[in-house]
This record gives sequence, structure tokens and C-alpha cells, in this order.
Amino acid sequence: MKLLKKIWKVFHSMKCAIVLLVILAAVCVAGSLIPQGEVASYYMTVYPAWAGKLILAAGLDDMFSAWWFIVMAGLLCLNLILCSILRFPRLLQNYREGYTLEARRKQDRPESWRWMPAAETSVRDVFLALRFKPAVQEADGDVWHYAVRCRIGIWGSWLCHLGMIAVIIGFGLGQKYMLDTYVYGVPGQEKPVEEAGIRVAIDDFEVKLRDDYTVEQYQAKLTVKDEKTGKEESGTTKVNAPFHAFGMDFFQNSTGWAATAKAYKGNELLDEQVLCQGEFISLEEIPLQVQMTAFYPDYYNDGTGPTTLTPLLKNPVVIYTIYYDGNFFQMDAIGTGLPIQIGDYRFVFENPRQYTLIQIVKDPTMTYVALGGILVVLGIVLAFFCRTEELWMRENADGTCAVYCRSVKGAELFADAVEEALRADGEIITVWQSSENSSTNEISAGEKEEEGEHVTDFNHR
Amino acid sequence: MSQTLITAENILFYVTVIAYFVSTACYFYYFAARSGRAAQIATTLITAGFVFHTLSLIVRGIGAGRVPLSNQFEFATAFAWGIALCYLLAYRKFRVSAMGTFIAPILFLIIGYAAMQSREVRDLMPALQSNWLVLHVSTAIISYGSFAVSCGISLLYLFYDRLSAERQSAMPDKKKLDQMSYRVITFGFLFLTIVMITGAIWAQRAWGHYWTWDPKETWSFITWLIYALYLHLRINRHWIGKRTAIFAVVGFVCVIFTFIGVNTFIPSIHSYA
Ligand code: HEM
Repeated sequence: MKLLKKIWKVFHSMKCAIVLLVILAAVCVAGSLIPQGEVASYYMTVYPAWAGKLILAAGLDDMFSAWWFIVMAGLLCLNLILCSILRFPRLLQNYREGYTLEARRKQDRPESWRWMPAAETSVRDVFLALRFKPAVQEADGDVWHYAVRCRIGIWGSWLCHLGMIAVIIGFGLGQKYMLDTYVYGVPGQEKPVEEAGIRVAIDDFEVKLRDDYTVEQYQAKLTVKDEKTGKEESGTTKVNAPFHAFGMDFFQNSTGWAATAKAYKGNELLDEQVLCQGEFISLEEIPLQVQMTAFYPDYYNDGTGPTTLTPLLKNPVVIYTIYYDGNFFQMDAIGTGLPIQIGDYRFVFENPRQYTLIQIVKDPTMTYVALGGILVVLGIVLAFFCRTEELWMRENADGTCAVYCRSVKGAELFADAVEEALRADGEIITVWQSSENSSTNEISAGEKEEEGEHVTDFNHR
Repeated sequence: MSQTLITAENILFYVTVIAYFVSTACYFYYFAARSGRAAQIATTLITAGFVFHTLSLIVRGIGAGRVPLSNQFEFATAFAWGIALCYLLAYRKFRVSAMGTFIAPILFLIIGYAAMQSREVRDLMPALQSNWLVLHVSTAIISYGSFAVSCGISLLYLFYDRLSAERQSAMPDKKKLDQMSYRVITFGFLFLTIVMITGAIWAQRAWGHYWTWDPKETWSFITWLIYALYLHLRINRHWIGKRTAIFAVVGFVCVIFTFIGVNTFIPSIHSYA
């Protein structure tokens, strides 16, 4: 039982959160230095053998999807959830009842001064100068003025944590359930995307070039057909402006060169296919394959290797590779429209044009992640820029006032501002020594654990 | 960009570099010789430098026909601008010249780094033509500027005990320095969070995924974690004073690594920046 209690305590503590955040930061450093998602042989050649083995065994090659990384994120999330649940009633109670004169009169720790207002000044003026709206109250025969501002600020960290929970869970589920696929082709082609239940027709694709041949924009016109309902939607996708249809986003991801490859035997056309760079045309009757290995629209080779002078189709050349029975046979360069003769067979590359690769994404949790992000920002704004600050004064019979102020965040700076306002409107007679605890956590008063024995570890302020 | 505008931008930029350099020297002199006059001159120079700097950015923006926040030179010069802005705001609020002794050198180093980058104005590749990018970088400037200022205040804190009692009495006490640094960090933390969100939105629209653990993303997340840790340690472990000051400096080292180190040492989709 004791052990369970201990584990429970650890799991909802901020100490645990700190340890998790430190570990998370450390593994992220590792994850950024070790290239992610490479093939196993990469790690064995780039790193010493033992390090390569370690990287592969520990999943450091795909760290951000490794089971232990997910467990760690889960623990952080659990920690946040428990902490948020436990803090909620205390915060609510504190919000409702904690900021009263009664609660503060019992407290002798805040910054405090004995102050004599200038003749023409009222206590109220000092409150107003500091942008407080005081309420006058009588207690035990004394006249008190009390004001609190930005009480709402105490919800800041709670809201921020809630946002983080939404972000972590949303991101995790998104990674698991997101549809992330692609389709590529040249204008005129229509291709099925089975996992999305759609067909995508590429109606047009344009690469807009500037005068200096740099790319201004890639733009594809698409028609998407829902296989089930038969409905169609058409639109344009550009970099930074995806096309949205059937709950999916279509991104203009990348491009490359394609050409129509034709295979002949004598004058008989055996096959005709659109090949994108890297693809093959194969014959059925003999095990012969021709690959469109690379393409140069404005081919130039000064002996140091092929290159293209411009992105325009001025001197189009295909680098092709021939395989026979799976084995490399020949590699060479050929102009488009010119024949490659292999025995009885002839291959021709024609009509070179650019293909487009469209990425198709449907992330069902993105809205929740976005909402979480907004909550995090809102929480931070509340926590740090709606600082809960209190000011209260007792009017003494001799015309002086006892002035107190309290703030959880930047107490010294707030006290400075109060002191300045007091000096501007009167005279400070005594400065009472402020205690180290002047910035006592606002939630500490009600933050005893249910059993009443120990105080949770996040209320020491 | 027309030759006149290029010349104007060059002149304004170099006047800025000189103003920041002389200001740094004046702050050092002020610190070493306790010359209040030198501090005044230094602050005036940084203010003047900031005005020239702003003009140079405006001229570049007009010449390029876009917001000049899209390549490494533009990021670096805007980063320096952000530091100058945050310093001047912090100075207005706290009125502590000694901060300048530690912040002006950082400012000078960053603008020096900018001066070493190619200043050519190029048309943007499609992925960079995004208003989200502009928002992303603008918020980054403020966030990084704040962290630079908090780093400067923390360095002053760490130096504090070596100062004579007389000099100490002319400055806020250590507790106040600590709280100043804390407040500036909270400002930077808010902006860093917005930087990550706007960056995620941009990535989503440009590449289809809002978060891919690209090294630059990962390092901005690490920086964010460091400052989140700073905030929690202050509460939970009573880490105030020296330890948090060291944390603020380490946090800023991470900022610099995210900004310069990642582009230099680690391949990333952000590397073309
Ligand atoms: C990456 C994740 C987290 C972020 C971004 C975050 C953010 C914040 C922020 C901004 C504050 C306000 C700090 C201040 O008032 O000075 C805060 C406070 C706090 N955090 Fe977190 N937090 C995270 C994780 C956690 C976790 C896992 C716990 C679990 C126990 C936790 C517990 C607390 C507590 C108890 C406070 C003090 C609240 C107060 O005194 O007002 N945090 N957090």
C-alpha cells in the first residue's frame, strides 16, 4: 500500500515532470545528431561497429517512433493529466475564496510598509495609480482597503498543461491514424489511390519559371473522384496552398522528368508507357528491361559528368540503363526520339515532360492539436502576463497606513512599483522586513494532500 | 533591387554595425571606468544604431519587394534588430545600464555574423513564399531577442559578486536582477511558443506535416524544453539566483545553436534558409 502510495505520489509530482523533461531534452539532442530513418547499412558504415549496433538495437535510427520514446511521451502526458486533475479543485477553491481580505489579514509575510499619505492624497489615489480598484471593508474596528487584480491569472499554468495534454495525445494519435500517401504522374493521367478510396486525375501541371530560370511556383490542377459516391471535386494545388477535397489535403510535393517510352519489335509496337525518372519498361517475351535512369532537358557534358544548362527542353537527353535477366547490361545517354537498338528490339523515349508528385494527407487529430496549441499560448499569457497581484492597506488612527502587497511572480518588482507609488503620494515611515516567502504560492493555502499529512511537492513557494 | 537602394542599404547597414560596435566599447568603458557619461553615450548609440538598422531593413524590404525575413543574412540581421529592440524595451522598463555591458557584445556578435553572410537579394523559392513564414520569423526575432537580453542580465548577475559594494549599490540587487531575467524569459517563452506554432502551420501548408522532428524543429523544441524546465525548477526546486542565471545562459546557447549551429552542422530541410 505504502509503495502504491509512493508510486502515485511520484507520478503526479512536478519532480517527476522535471526528470521527464530533462530526459526528453537529452534524447532529442541524440535524435537531432543521429540522422533518422536511414537504412541499417548506413549506421554500420558511418559509425564504429559497436555504435552502429547500439543505434539499431535501441531504435535510435527512428527514435521519435521508438516504443520507449512513445512510453516517455505517454508518461509525461499521464503526469500532466494527474497533476491537472489534482490541482483543479484547489485552484477553483483558491480562485473563489483565496483572494479576500480575511485570507490576507491572517498572513504576515508579504512586503509591507508604514506609510503616511501626503495631505492631498487619499489611499484610494495610490490604488488607482497602480491600476487597482479598492474595496473598503471594516474588520475588528479597523478600516481596510483591499484589491486584487488578474485573479484569472492563476489558471494560466493549468490551462497551459491542458493544452499540452491535447497536443501530446493529438500528435500521438495523429501519427498512428493519419492517412499519408502520394500519387504521381503527368498531365492526362488518372491514378487510383486505394487507401484513400479515391482516383486522382492530373489535369494540368505547370512549373512557372522566372527569367533567371529559378522556380516561382509549381502548380497542379487536379480532379479527385470519390470511388464510393462517384462525386468529383476539381481544384489547384500549389506549394504553400494545398487543395482540399473529401476531407483530405493534396500537396504539391515535388517534381521530376518523365517521358513516353515505346518498345518495338521490327515495326510492331509492343508496349508504350509513361516513365518517370527511375522507372522501367519491361518486355514480356524476353527478360529485357530499360530504365529511364536520369534526364537532362538541356544536356551538357564537358567530361566532368552530365549536367543541364537550363531547365528548358533545348537538348533533351535520357540516361538509360539496360538490364538483361536482372543483370546490368549497358548504360548510355540518348537524345529523345532516337532509337536504342538491342537485337531485334528497339526502344524510343519521346515527349519528355515534367511529372508532379502529389502528397495526400488526412490527419484526423490536427484540429485538436491546434486547439491544444491555442490553449498553451493562452495559458502562458494568463500565467505570465495576467499576474495576480494584491494590495491592501489598513488606515491607522494616527493617520498613517499599513500597506501590504503580494504577488507570486516577480514579487520584488511589484513591490518596487508599489513603493514608488507610495513615495510619489506620501512618505514611507517604516519598511517592514519582507520575508523570503513573500512570494508564497497562491495555491499553497489549500494545497494539503487529502490525508492532510504531507504537502505536495509543487507548493513550496 | 536598384543600385541606389543597394548602396543605401549598405551604408545604413554599416553605420548600424559601427554604432553597435562603438556602443559596445562605450559600455565596456563605462563598466571598467564607472563612467556614467560613457553609459549615456552607449545607450544613445545603440538607440541611433537601432534607428539606422530599422531603416536598412525597410530599404531592403522595398528593394526586394517583400518582407526581408527569408535568408540567413536577413534572419541574422533581423535577430540583431530583435536584440536591440528587446534591450531598449528592457532598458526603458528597468533603467539598468550595466545590462548593456553584457547585451551589446551579443548584439555586436550577431550583427557581425550577419555581415559575414551573402547579402544578395534573391527571389524566393516557392516554399518560402508564405505569410506564415513571415510571422514565424518575426516572432522568432522577438523571442530570441528576449532570450539574449535575459542572458545578458544573467551574466550581469553572475558577475555581480565581483563588483565593489559601491558599484553594487548603484544597481538593482541580485534578487531584482533575477526577477528581471525571469520576466524577460517569460516574454521570450511566450514568443518561442508562438514561433513553434506558426512554424508548424507553415510546415503543414508547405510540406503536409506540421511536425517531422527535423533537426531545426527538434532544436527549437529542446530550447523550449530548457526554458520550460527553467520555469518549473524555479517553482519546484527553488532554483532562483545563480543556478537559474546559469540556466538562462545555457538556454541562450541553445538558441544560438538552433539558429546557427543546426544550419552549419546538421542537414535539415531548413538548411536552405
Ligand atoms: C512540456 C510540458 C509543460 C509545459 C509547457 C508546462 C508549462 C508550465 C508553465 C508555463 C507554468 C507556469 C510557470 C510559472 O508560473 O512560473 C507551469 C507551472 C507548473 N507546472 Fe508545468 N508545464 C509542463 C509540464 C508539467 C508537468 C508534466 C507537470 C506535472 C506535475 C507540471 C506541473 C506544474 C506545476 C505544479 C506548476 C506550478 C503552477 C503554479 O504554481 O501556478 N508541468 N507549467
